[in-house]
Amino acid sequence: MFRKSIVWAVGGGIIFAILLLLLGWFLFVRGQNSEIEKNLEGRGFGTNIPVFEGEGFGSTNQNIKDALLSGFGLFTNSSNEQNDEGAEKILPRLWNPSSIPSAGISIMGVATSTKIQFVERPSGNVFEANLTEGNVNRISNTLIPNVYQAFWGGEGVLVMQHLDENGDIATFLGSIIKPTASSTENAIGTFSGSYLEPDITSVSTDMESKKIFYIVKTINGAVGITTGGKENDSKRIFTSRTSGWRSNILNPDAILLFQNASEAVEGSAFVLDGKGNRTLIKNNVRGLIITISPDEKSLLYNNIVSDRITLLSQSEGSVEREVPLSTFAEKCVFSPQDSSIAYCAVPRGIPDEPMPDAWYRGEVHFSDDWWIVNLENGSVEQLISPESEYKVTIDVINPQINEDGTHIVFLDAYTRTPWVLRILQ
Amino acid sequence: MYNFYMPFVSKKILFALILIAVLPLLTQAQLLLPNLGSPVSFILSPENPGPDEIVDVRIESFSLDLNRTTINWLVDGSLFAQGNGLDAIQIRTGPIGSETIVSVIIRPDEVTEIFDQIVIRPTHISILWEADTYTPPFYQGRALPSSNSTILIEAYPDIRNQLGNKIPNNDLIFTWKKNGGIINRISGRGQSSAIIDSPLLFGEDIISVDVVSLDNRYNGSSFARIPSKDPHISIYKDDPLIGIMYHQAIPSFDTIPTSDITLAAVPFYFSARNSNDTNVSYVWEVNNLSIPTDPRDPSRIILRLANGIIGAATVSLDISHVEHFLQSASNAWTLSISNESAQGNDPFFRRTN
Repeated sequence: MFRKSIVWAVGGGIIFAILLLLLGWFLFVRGQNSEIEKNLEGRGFGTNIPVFEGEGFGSTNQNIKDALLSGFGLFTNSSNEQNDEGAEKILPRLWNPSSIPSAGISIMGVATSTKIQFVERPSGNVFEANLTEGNVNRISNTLIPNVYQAFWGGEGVLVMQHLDENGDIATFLGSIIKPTASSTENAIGTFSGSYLEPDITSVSTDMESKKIFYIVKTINGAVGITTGGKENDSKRIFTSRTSGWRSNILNPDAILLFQNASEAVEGSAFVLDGKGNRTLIKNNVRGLIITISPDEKSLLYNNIVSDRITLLSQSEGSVEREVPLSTFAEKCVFSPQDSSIAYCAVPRGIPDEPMPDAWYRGEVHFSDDWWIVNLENGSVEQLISPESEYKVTIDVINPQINEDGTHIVFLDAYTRTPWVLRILQ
Repeated sequence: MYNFYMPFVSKKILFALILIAVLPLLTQAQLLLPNLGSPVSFILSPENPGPDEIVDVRIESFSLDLNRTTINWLVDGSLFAQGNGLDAIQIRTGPIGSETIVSVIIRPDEVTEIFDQIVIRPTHISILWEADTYTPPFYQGRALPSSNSTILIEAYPDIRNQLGNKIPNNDLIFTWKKNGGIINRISGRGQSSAIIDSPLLFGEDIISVDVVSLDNRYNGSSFARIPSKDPHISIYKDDPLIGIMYHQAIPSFDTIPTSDITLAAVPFYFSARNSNDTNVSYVWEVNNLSIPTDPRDPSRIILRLANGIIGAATVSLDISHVEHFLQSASNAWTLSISNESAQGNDPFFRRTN
């Protein structure tokens, strides 16, 4: 009897000890989960992005403010009732999808599947918005702090540039990998890839051919390399004693190269073919900045004559003529349907400073209006004036037009925020 | 006794050898003879025409009165123009690798006929250059030369033979000139690039290059004006979230909407590898008081409001090169610092009208 009591007591003690251990383990695990959730929350994981109803909120942290201005940047719906959930949403003429500085913006897809992607500069996170819905979703939450520039080399393939600990340019080429287990369309992926050579001074990409061209600064000058984004498909097609070049892939067979511009000096421009053969386009033009249409039939370029910035146009079958607008050729894009039509952001005024140097140094900013330039007959027509019509100043850089020719995306040079312009009213 | 007998085949070979030896001389003679002792000389404008370019072709003579003479112009063997005293024509060159033969037939009297010709082979030479001076990462403007800096210069010749094959740089002779004087140090066969000194303070140099093929058949030239510019200082906010805001230089008078700010200076156009190059010396002052900096990071200072919510600071900065004393620049900024501004601490505030 006494022995039976001892067994019961020992057994009960063991069971109690086990329960106590399990309770302790439960509390420990709960604490860990709570910490992980806090960390994820701190990084903005799963945080919703502005839904364009009422005040817009930022995404990454509490520093992000609602900087959307009234009168634009808000999706409206077809019934003009903000609360009518069933109504079709209408993209505003001028849309600022994020108030956070971006490293780059791109537009892809056609018709109703047209969408934009942009990279947040503080986090390197990639965001996407369908232009028919307007909801901005984070599609990559991989943290790459202080991304200065981003380029798209095909859907989901990106090149991001930031500074390393020595202040040198580091370039990361990667792709967004969506989680396989998730079936939701808006699942957040990770950005995975590898670093390219250090000191890449110029990057250009082509969404269609997925081709990437970049210029690496070397001890002997610079080399230009093309890659399809896969391993061992890099090819050196350009060498130069000088490293200050800008590049733009016009089409799979042609890359535009021109020297970094200054008001004080002359520059040259070439087109490189796939084998690296150079064709001279412009030689010794003061303040040369140049934009060429993807079909290589039209071009716009700057020539500084007596300290006046002139914009000149050349189009197949037309004579070279001066465009009666004073702007930089890099603020222009060609219509994909008709390369004799260009859309140019034109400063309302250009201060009396050395240009484009002072603009590139960030000392001068413009308030641009958008104009349509007809290279065939030389006519120009204003498309939209953000300052007059929306009371907002935008200094356009890196404009890109979509395949349908319906939208232009760009960054504002002053805030580096991404913008979308619907061309048709 | 020598045997002079040669089989038939050997005679053929001998004839072929003689022909091979003499033919180039004949060909050369064909090209050169018209000019040897010719009473006329050709003048081209431009001197070394490029492809698809309008060229003025003019003839001069010291022994003939061209004004009273009938001149027939032939281009590639076809009559192009003729007339009394017609001493100049305009033609358009072909592409690189092409040859255009311009000939003149002059009949000063009924018995004399003078023939001369020139072969125009268009070439193109581009001169590309940049200064070996500092500009910040992602800067899209040209690195400009300042006094005592160096310049990287490169000639990019596009010279092709009649088959359209590009003549490699190693088969070309480059003669570099600075303001008309030959720079022997960097000239020679295959010398397509060079490092040269920048112009003197406030000066401008004209650097030119003459390029000629080894056989003298092809030549071209080009030049570049290279000015000397003053170094330049801009300062930018170094934001913890987005890095150095190279896109927003801080103007001379500005309001800083935070209680503290890190300022990063950029020494444009100094002979430096980076902004913290040991060859570059920074002297920061805030309200006329010298500010010590981190010796490893002298291009940056932190401004912080000690008390209160509003403060003003006059920030001045002198940057000089420790070796090249003419490379120096200074600038000053008046900054109102307030942590109660309309924008609060938002680093992304927008301009509005």
